Amino acid sequence: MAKKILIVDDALFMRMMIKNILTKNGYEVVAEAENGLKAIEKYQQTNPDLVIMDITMPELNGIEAVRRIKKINKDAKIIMCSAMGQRSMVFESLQAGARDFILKPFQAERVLDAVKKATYS
Amino acid sequence: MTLDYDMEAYKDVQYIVFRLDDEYFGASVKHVESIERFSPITRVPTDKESTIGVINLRGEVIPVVDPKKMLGILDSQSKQNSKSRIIITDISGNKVGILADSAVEVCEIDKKMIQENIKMLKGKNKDFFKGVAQIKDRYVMIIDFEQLLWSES
Amino acid sequence: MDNSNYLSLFLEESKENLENISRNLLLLEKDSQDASIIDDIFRSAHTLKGMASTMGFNAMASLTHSMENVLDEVRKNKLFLSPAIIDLLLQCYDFLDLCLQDVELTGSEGERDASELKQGLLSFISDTQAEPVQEKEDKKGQAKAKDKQEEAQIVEHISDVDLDVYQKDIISESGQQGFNTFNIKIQLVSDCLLKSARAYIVFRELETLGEIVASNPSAEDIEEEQFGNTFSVILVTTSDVEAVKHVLDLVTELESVEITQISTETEKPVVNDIEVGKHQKASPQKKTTTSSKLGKSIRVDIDRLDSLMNLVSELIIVKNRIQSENSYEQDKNLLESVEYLGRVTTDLHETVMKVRMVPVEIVFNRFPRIIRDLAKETHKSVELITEGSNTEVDRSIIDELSEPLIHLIRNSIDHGLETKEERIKNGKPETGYIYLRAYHEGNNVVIEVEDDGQGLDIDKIREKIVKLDLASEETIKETDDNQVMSFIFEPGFTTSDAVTNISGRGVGLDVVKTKIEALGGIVDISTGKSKGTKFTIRLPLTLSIIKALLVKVSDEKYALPLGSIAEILEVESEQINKLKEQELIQYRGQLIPVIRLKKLLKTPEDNIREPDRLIMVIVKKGERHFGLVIDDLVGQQEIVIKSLGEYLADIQIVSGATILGDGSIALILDINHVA
Repeated sequence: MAKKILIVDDALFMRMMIKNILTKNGYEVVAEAENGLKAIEKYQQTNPDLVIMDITMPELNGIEAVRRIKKINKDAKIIMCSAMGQRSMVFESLQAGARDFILKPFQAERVLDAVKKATYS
Repeated sequence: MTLDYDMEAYKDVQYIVFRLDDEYFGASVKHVESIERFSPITRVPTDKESTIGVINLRGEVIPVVDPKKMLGILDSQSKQNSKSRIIITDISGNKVGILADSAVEVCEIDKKMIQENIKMLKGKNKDFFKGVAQIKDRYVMIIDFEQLLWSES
Repeated sequence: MDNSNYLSLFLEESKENLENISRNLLLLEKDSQDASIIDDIFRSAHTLKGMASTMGFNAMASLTHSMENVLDEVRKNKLFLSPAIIDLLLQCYDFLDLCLQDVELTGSEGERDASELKQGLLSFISDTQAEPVQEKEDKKGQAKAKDKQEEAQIVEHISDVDLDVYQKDIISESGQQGFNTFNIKIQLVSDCLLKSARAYIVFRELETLGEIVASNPSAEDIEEEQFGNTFSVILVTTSDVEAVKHVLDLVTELESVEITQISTETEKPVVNDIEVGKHQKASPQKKTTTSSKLGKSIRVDIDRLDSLMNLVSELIIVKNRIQSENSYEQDKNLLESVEYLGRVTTDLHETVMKVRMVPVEIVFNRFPRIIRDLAKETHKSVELITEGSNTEVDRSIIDELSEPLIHLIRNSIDHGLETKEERIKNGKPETGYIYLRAYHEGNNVVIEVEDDGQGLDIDKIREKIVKLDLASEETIKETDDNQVMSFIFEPGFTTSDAVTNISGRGVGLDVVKTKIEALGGIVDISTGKSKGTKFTIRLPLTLSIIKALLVKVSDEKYALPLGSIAEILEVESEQINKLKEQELIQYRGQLIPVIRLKKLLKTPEDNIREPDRLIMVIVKKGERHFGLVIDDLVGQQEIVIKSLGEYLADIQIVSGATILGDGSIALILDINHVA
């Protein structure tokens, strides 16, 4: 069965790009969210196999969202999505429990590799 | 399969529409950093007719130009008033302000909506004119700030 | 993805290493037996290789790799270090230097082909061993990382993880208790960004299996991103190889993983199937020449210093703003506080400035090599004598200094110094000397390039000026030698039928002048026939904050750098004489040109009738003086120089702008171009 993925990014453009890459490769994007709060809501509704999470977002940033999702489900798998130059935030989110990170601009193969490895079970 | 995406593609369809006298112009927001209200302009000694001077933008000194002189289509000289705006462009880190009589809106213009190859403006209005687009009931001349400011003429 | 974030760091460190190579190669020319020097070069080449390959600069990486191979042979006494090898290594240096210049300008190393150099290097060692030719392949196959993992026993020979007694204890103890100990060597993909975060994930995943007792480099270094593309850890765990492998398989951006079990029977950990870093053993780190530099210092990104400087600038602007409020003078407490604030900001500015200072040595170190080559080329015997190479200059100036100095040195060797025969004929020693001096003078740093060659023939220059129509015969006769000399900085001063014995002397000097002036400095020349020539460059110590005199021209405010002001005078308008179109005034026994700023700056018309008494600021440009007529004096203050930006770069009489206390802008006049 196709793995279910939740995409969180405040830019529609980025969500579109990631969604494109994933659906083309047999993943199911079950939901999208444009900020951290929405992400938590959608996470509870859809219980996805994986979350791809932007770091800088309005309302609630990605790092905090990771912490809260991890509280809901400590095995939640989350890949951070970061622009370059956010070194400390990447560290923070890894400490908060994110599994992996990818840097913008993406290479599709990196995204797929990370998704594949994170959803391996 | 390697796909490099970037945000620039998205910004490409966003245009700022501004007014010079009674005509409307549009330019891609990818080169626009901000739009500023009135600010005192300090004259600089230069022979470039289009250069009005420099402004203090939050501690940065930025040149301001009068696009009317560059477009060569209007005789009048731009004067600042309460409606006028300075469009701050940033091209490869170099900032230049463009004085407009007013800023109208920021809207999406699909590339397909821009009619190219229209000789709207007489003579030598070379590379910075990208075409004309109709938005609502008005015609907007699309110009390229980078070409306008930085191409040697 | 790109590595541009690391580019500046890469450039800086690569340059250091490259200079180190060059300096040491020249030392080797004198003493080819000193093993520690060879070690030092080897280390620099190795570091360069690591950095270049990290950045994906393959030509540089592969060339340094070949250099390393040759140096290694030399080090092991398998190869005699002949002058030919040194020459070839110097050529490699040139190649790498060019690559770096390209990287600096374009971000890529350019399309140079190093194969000839590599062949040359290879030919020296072909007797002893064959060059491994696999490096190219290593770069390509990232996509096929999977099949590469097995055969990834690559050129990179990392030493085993260094263990202290305590760690050895843990390992042997755990062995007795049935734990496994693995040495795990991880190589990240070559374009991996945020390597430290990647390593963090590796550590975290491995720690789900057991304990990491040691790593190479240390965990701190890894966290600080102080490592190439590989690192090793020692893991003590109850799990087996497969489990470790599986965990790491699920981490992204790993190029290869090498797991070896460390047997714990012997006291010293012995690695089963990989060779212990033999180079390390062969040369236990002897006297490291570089270690002397490691005082108590830290490496700071120049951008951070720039932003610190900007903050200081903001502070000074705020201080100026408070002072421009008239009311503050009435309140004694406030007055005192503001004065104190003034002193603190000045001190702060000076301190930050000092931090940004680097010794000119960095530039001077390039020259022995250049001089050696030029001397060879021109068959002249040249000795360089440098003085004051520890004189410090602002970092932003240093980078721009190299080019003009090289120009002047070339000039001196090419045209200044005579041939050996000529020198002997003229009763001079066969060897010509070039002096390179640096010292501080007031708010300036002075750099001199002097040779003891034939000098310039001032009469010939006078002839030439007239011939080129740069001045009339009468004027030039009256002009003093120094001013005549300054004509050689005019663009194209010597063109076609150059005066024979100063042939070519002026070519390119205008470039030097332009460059130095762009830095806010000036260049002067003094010479005597057969006495040699001396170029003197004066540069401001720092670029961003200066003391200035604020003046009014019509209603506009301008700033004049205090450093170039000699005096402020009040003159009667009838004291000004007119010679043709040029106004002149008598100043200390000399007639100096008068410049009306109102006219020069084309200020808008005003109806103010010219007063009988004029305010005149006497400025100096090198040895010459000019009188600038202004309308009013505003005052003296420290100002922060802001650039006008690229768009207005063609306005020469203005060198920048500053923001005054009230938020308005005053333009800073560039005296060199005003006068």
